[in-house]
Amino acid sequence: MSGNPVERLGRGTTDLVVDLGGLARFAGRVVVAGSGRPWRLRRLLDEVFGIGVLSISIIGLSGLVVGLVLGLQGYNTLVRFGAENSLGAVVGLTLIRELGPVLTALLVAGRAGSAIAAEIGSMVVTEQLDGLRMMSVDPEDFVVAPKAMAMVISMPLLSALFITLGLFGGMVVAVGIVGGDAGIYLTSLESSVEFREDVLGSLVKALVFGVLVALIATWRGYTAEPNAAGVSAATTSTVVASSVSVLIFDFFITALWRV
Amino acid sequence: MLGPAVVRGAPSQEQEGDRGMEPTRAEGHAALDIARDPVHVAIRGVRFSRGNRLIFRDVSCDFLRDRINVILGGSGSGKTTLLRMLGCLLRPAEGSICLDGALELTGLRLAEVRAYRRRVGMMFQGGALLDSMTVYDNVALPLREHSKLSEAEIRREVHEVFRSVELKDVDGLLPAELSGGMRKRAALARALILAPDLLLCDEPFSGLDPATLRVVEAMLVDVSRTRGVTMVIASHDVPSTFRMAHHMVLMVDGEAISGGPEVFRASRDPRVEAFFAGSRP
Ligand SMILES: Nc1ncnc2c1ncn2[C@@H]1O[C@H](COP(=O)(O)OP(=O)(O)OP(=O)(O)O)[C@@H](O)[C@H]1O
Ligand SMILES: [Mg+2]
Repeated sequence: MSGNPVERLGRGTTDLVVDLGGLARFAGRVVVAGSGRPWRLRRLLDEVFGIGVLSISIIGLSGLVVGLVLGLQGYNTLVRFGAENSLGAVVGLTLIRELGPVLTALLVAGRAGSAIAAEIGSMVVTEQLDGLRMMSVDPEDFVVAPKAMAMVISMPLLSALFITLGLFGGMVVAVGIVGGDAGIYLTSLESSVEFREDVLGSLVKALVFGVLVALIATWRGYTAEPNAAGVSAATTSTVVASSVSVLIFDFFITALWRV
Repeated sequence: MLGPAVVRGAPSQEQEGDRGMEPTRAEGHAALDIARDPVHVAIRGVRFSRGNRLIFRDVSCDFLRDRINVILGGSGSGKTTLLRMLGCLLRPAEGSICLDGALELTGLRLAEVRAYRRRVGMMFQGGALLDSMTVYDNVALPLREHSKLSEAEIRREVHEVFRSVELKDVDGLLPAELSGGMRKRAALARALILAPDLLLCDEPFSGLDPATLRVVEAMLVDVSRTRGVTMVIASHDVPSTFRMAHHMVLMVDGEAISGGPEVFRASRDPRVEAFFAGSRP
């Protein structure tokens, strides 16, 4: 990009607004396409499986490590106030309300979101989407909707996996490293986490992030320039745009609904 | 609007144009009288640009019903663009594309485009097979989407079309596991499965060795003879075009020059001579 910084900012902003308009229209078409016919269950399950397989190990491992770190950091802070018995509450609330959904969304955007954009983009390059159109099969219905829906379904499940392994990681620290008691950790966790406030809120966040990543990834792939550079640009911008929008939406959801 | 630009042979041959082509019968096709062959698709005054580059200045030509029509032209002359217009994947800025003198393609709405495409098969240059599905599922897809046939009936139809394009034992393979020639045949099978009236083929011969080219060519000729389908083939292979074409359209400088093979063989038009550069049989 050329021009002075102000010009660049201006162009970036208009691009973004035009982008949002296109994205909204695309989202409408996908929802219409996805709900008009009987669901393509087979394709949907294939896609859920694909996204799951791509993401389970990375999400599980990351959750565990984040739980370990949270346990250590939490303990070091709490012990200064003599409150180390609340470790379960601190690890649990941080993971459930914030880090679980957000980190899961960032990781899934990097792993599965980019893969979705690259796959759809390469279908554009190799004329597979035009091939479908020529068979009177709607690519939004046949290709985009199952992938987007699978992403929306997978995100809360993966977020739950992340949180579960994170809680386990926190307990490993509490019991194994700082020599605490598993019962105290679990009691503190259980008594501080509210189902409605915390668990449902966490689910809502994960769902919203799932919709964001799904739409951005499929749309970037769908609108990729039909060449190799276009596919790589779609992949990169999927990761950037969905990560940034996940963080921005996280702020607003947290601020507005106190989740 | 003007009619299509038809190449005239050298003046001495013009009188006996159709008589002059009798000898070509030996090559396998019945002689044609262009004037009496019904027009399937008529293109008139089509103008089209990409960005600010003018691709079609004024394209007018006909494609004949149930015949093999070949679009020739150099790389970038707009063969693929013209095929995509016939498939309603692109819309011209101006001009008309008319089917059977009745259906105007340039004004169709989305639902009408879908209905129209069910009668059109398209074989893309790279095959455009879905690479996440097996060859069998690819070819069965149009039937699964648009017919109420049972799986057993679908299996029968798919294997029949595989036979007619001479593909064997490819059911469970993925498109990436096929050779170039097999991929072209699988793409042709998918384009044929709904028994279209209009078959559009983009570069069916590109990237094939001479022997495979002959096989694919013979297959297309056979399909044309047995199935009664209007074929529009984009190609830049001159020898096979002169062997198989009933009608030819040459794209040059954003315009179309059309006529029968015998007309092109004899044409003294400098644009035609420049394209063939001495390669005419
Ligand atoms: N997506 C596109 N964006 C911009 N210009 C394009 C696009 N596709 C094709 N063109 C231009 O349109 C013109 C015609 O292209 P087209 O693909 O129809 O040529 P062609 O005759 O099929 O060539 P080839 O024999 O190489 O396949 C070319 O000049 C090309 O640069
Ligand atoms: Mg082409």
